[in-house]
Amino acid sequence: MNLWHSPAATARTQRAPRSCATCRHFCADPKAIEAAIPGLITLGSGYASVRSDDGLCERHQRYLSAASSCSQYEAR
Amino acid sequence: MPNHANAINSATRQSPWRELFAKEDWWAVWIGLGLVIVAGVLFASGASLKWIAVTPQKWSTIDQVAAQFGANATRYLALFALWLVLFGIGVRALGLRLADFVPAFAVLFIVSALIYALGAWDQASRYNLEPPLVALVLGLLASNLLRLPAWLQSGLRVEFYIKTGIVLLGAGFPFVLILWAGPVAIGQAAIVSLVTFGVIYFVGVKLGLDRRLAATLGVGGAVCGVSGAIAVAGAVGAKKEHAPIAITLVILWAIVMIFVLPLVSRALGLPTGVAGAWIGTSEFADAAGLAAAQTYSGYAGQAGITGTPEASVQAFTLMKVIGRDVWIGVWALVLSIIATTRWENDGVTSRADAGEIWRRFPKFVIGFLIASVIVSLAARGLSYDAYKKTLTPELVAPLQGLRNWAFIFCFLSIGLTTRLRDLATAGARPFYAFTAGVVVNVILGYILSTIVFVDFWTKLGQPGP
Repeated sequence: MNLWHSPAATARTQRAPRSCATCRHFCADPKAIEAAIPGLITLGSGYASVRSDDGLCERHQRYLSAASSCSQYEAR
Repeated sequence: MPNHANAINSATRQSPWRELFAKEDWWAVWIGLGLVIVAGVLFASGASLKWIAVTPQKWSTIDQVAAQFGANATRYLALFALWLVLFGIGVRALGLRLADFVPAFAVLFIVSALIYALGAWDQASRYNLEPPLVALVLGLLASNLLRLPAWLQSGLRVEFYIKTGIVLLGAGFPFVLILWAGPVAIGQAAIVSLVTFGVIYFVGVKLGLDRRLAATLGVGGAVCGVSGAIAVAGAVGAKKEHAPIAITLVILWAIVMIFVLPLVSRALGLPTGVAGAWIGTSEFADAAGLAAAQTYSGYAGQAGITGTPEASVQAFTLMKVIGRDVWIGVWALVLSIIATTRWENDGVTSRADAGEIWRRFPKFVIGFLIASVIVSLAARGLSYDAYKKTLTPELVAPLQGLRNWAFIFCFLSIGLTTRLRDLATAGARPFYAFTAGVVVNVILGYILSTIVFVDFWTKLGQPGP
């Protein structure tokens, strides 16, 4: 059993491969997130579990879940 | 197209084991539990970890403290090497540069040792020189008045240190205590979290803030500070500037509360367990709250403050970690559903699923609980006398010593990473909304800790039979 990604989430990602996770406008790299969000390292961390695989979308200027999607998707 | 396919493959075929080595929470579990298991094995074979878990002892003259360091130089070097190797492995696995981390951690260790030693001065409490406060103030002054080298940043892993310390804290935390006090902590925390979130969110919306910002601020203030803010910002798809605004406010208020809560609690003569519960209810981040709770544990026995020193840290942990932190995934899921179904999405589609609860679960809590179970099993069948005379000095105390080191690394790192000039500008409306929540939170937390559940939290701080 996959404990880290629920079957629903895995199925969802497989059904919707055009999600932020694979979009070139999306960055979930912890180091980049820590650099982009002032104060995150003071009482938090880019490497924390609570952050999941969220990242910054430069297209929409939003901080999104990796499972999000939009019509302006561009593959990496 | 091949690139597209590769990208999809890498995203969908990630090993289920990846998170075990890619997240700081899990590394805190491996390091903390590894130390607990080694300590347990040594204890079972008649040895102890106490040689390497060296800590400064009480002193009254400079000559005494110098003699202490001289006599224990090898032990301090071994302790430094132990932490360097353990944290170094974790940091390397996370993808950070080891070449930067090594010198940075060396500086952090040396300054932490000096602060720890200062706290052991027999006049320290007279001048409020509690190690957490000294570490914080020194760090704040250095980071805001001096230009610190960039490489030092690599050693300032606040969350890594505090999570490791919390796992080690589990070793001194009887599991029955978690079972006994957990439900009350969860109940009290739930009341305060819901009310605080409601106040921040509704005041924010009333002031015209974007609902996503109001939600990010609300969870930051009500649940777990910066971690809560960043988790919910992602769950609701907040604008890029929302999380930094919430983080600025959390940091500023958390630092104020590190000083205010222990000092007000001391002025009111609150028992250690009661003060710990209040701090756990009304502080905004684990690291900041532990700085406040650890400071208050140093006040035990002074000026009529009753309760054991450990009780403030234990009550804080029950309230903050068990009562508030573990629910972050639920908050993220619920707000994600609301954001997806009720708020405008600007062309971005998000889908919430129950897996969110596990993905965002602060995994270090698992390490904390397992450490508690391990030591509780080791203590099973021992008389209170045997527990105090054998298990405590040979097994629990060395782990507590290591925990205190991890906490000091964390407290110093908080100060050294808090560069006020680098924080995002929050603006008046977010400030008012968040501050309204702070006021309600502090008052409600005080009422619940010192009136409604006062007997419970006072009892937590009573010495054993």
